[in-house]
Amino acid sequence: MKTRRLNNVVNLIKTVNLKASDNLKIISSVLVCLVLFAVFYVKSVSAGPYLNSAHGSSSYGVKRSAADYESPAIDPNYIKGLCAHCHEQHASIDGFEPYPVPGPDNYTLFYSNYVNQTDGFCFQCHTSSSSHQATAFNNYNYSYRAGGDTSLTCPNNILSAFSFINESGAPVSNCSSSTGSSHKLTDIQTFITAAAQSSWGFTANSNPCSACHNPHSAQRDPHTSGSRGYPVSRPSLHNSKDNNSWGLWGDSAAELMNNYTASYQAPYRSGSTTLYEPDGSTTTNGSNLTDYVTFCTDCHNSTNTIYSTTLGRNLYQFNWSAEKHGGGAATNDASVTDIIAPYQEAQLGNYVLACTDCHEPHGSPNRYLIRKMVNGGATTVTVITTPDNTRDWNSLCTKCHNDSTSISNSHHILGMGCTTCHTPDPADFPNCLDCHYHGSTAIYGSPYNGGEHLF
Amino acid sequence: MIRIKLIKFISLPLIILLVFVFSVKVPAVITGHCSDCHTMHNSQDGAVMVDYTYGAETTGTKSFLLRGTCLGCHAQGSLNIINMRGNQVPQVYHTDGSSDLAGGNFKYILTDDNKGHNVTDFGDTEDTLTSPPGHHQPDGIGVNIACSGEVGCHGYRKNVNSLIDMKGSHHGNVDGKLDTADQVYNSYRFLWKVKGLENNGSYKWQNKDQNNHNEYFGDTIPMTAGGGCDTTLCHDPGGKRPESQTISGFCSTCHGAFHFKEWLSGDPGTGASGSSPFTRHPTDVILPDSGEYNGYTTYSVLAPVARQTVPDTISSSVTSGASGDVVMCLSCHAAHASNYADMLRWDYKSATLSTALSGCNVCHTSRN
Repeated sequence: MKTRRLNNVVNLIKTVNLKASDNLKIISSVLVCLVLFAVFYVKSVSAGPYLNSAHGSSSYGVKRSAADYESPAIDPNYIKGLCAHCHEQHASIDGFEPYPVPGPDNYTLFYSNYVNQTDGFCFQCHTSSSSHQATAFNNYNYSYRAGGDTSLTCPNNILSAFSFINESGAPVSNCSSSTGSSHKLTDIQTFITAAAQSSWGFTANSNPCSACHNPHSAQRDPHTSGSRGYPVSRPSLHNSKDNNSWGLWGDSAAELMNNYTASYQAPYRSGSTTLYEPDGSTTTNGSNLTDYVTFCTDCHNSTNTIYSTTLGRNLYQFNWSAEKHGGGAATNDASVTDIIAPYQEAQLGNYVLACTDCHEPHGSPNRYLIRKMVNGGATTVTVITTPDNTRDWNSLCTKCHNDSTSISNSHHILGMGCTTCHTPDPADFPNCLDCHYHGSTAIYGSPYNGGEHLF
Repeated sequence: MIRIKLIKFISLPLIILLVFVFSVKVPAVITGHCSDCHTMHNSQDGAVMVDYTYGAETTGTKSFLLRGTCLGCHAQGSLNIINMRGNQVPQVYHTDGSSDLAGGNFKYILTDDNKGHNVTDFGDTEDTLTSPPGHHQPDGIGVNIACSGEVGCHGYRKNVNSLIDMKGSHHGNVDGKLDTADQVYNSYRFLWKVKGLENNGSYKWQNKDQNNHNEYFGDTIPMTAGGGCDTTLCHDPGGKRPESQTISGFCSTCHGAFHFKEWLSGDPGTGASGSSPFTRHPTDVILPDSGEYNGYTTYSVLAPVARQTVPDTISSSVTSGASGDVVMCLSCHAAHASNYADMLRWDYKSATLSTALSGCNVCHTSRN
């Protein structure tokens, strides 16, 4: 638009009959041009963070169902994306309070901000049934969206993803799994509002979903090359009293996985050996993936104490920059083919993985939020005890590690004796988790190789 | 010598008079002949004298020997400001294209009840509401209100005859800075006990732009009803008025739940704590000195703010923080009527999202 207006001005100059000696005409013409430019120049308008967000989109943003208003007669028919679909400024429209519940709530929301693991404001729309969003929609897991496995249609909404456990942390049958896992929301709320995190600016009234998402900025991510969005914000950067200057994470070049010294290698997308996560493109270096390591390690690091109601203990502390799957060094056994494509032997020991390569952010039918699809292959992880004779964890580890060479060889050359691992029956298989978990540096209580990381 | 003494004799009182004239606030009282506003017998040369009428109002005699009603003078239907016998008279109802005054224009309620306060004097009653939104029950107010009197806004708000509560106010009217506000005539816009600075400049009665607007008075915390609406809070024996003397407090005398930080019957109002998280959009709270609110720096007549102290002059600046400016009911709503739903200052029901959010974005600068 601006270019067109400039051209118009140039054309105008050309059409003015100028004589070199006629200074007055020159000056007046220039003045005319300047005036016209000033009149017709309009600074281009661009949408701000809210209008670019998933909730504020005029195409697919928030739109409370007309049936939720007191009656069709007073349906205010607000445009999609408007504040009123979530916030009731006076808990009253035309003298009545819109559904679903009477009485004003914190932050002028139409429902309690947060109640428990499966009840809260966000779940009023992010649910499959009785959603207050006028148009039905799905929120599939990361394995579906970034991994491209469209067979994984359960969970298909956020409430379902958080419903693999209940408020007590006990497992709940969901998506044909009774051993699934979910991020424990009340634990998150407890953690982010603890004194140690006071600089983050959360309060006792904060919704735990808002630990990771700015509801007025979070964007939809179609996970399609050339069409991306950024849904998360770093909790440690929340530090803003009114929650407004809290920017997105991943929307600038410095916030992507390709910034690590160690190489990032994108996993395969489901059903392909030529296309990669997270957007089905041929990009492999993480330049199209949010730096989820930095994002997740705001909480999950070597210093924070996070109690897990589900596990009944504090989460393991770990330093991702030192771990083998993270920024730490790993040794390549040149005698065997350890690794599975797209990971390369030559790069082994020089990779850094993103948390989302293995974990779902919200919940999973698998244990420990392990994805149902990793590096293009299916996983089933239900066993957390040892022995693991169904070799559940192998279904995860073998998505990247060669089972017949790397996994077997690497363990047998340790020379620890068969029954150290194959116990109590020599035919038993140990659970990978016995030794390989975040923060582990020991094998059955004995430090490994002077404290070398085992994960 | 005699001449010099005479000059001294005359000039001294003249100087004193001039000093007095220019040092004392001059009441913006109605001036002119009594007959400009009053009539002894409603008859002059055989013609009725009550000739200031609106619509179907009768020309019969009026209280206090007036020649017309409120609307007879203030709703003549033409310009936004008219000249009546030498006096500029603001028009709360006009149908021409001139800009609406700061309170809005009651013409909008004639097409949509939702667009303004339903002043029954205009002959169009409320069809949807059964009580003032946010008011306690039993209210006794109803939804069809008057300009003044027991169910009105201007004057003492005590008597059934609305004109009684305005008696004498025009005679003593004070313009400009009104920070005494103990009588109707020295209160902001005859809203008893409400403080403020009336725009008395080139664009009198108007909120034209950042340099020409009324200055509203606000507080840093909403009123609280606690045990009930006692005589201190609102129900003064002399009439109804807000303890806070703020414009938002005034609105709350009818729409209490929308302002009070603790309302009645367990209703939290805007939030019992008077601080975030609010349960309704708060008024009489400061613009926080953080985040997006710091982006509101130039006064906007689309979403004006109130001041913690009634200023001497109009300011084009907005300041956030503890000593800064204050959100009020009139930040979003017009006092009389607007051309938009819910008396809002902008079209919240626009089919264009950025337009619908335009008023919100004045304060919530990052929600664009």
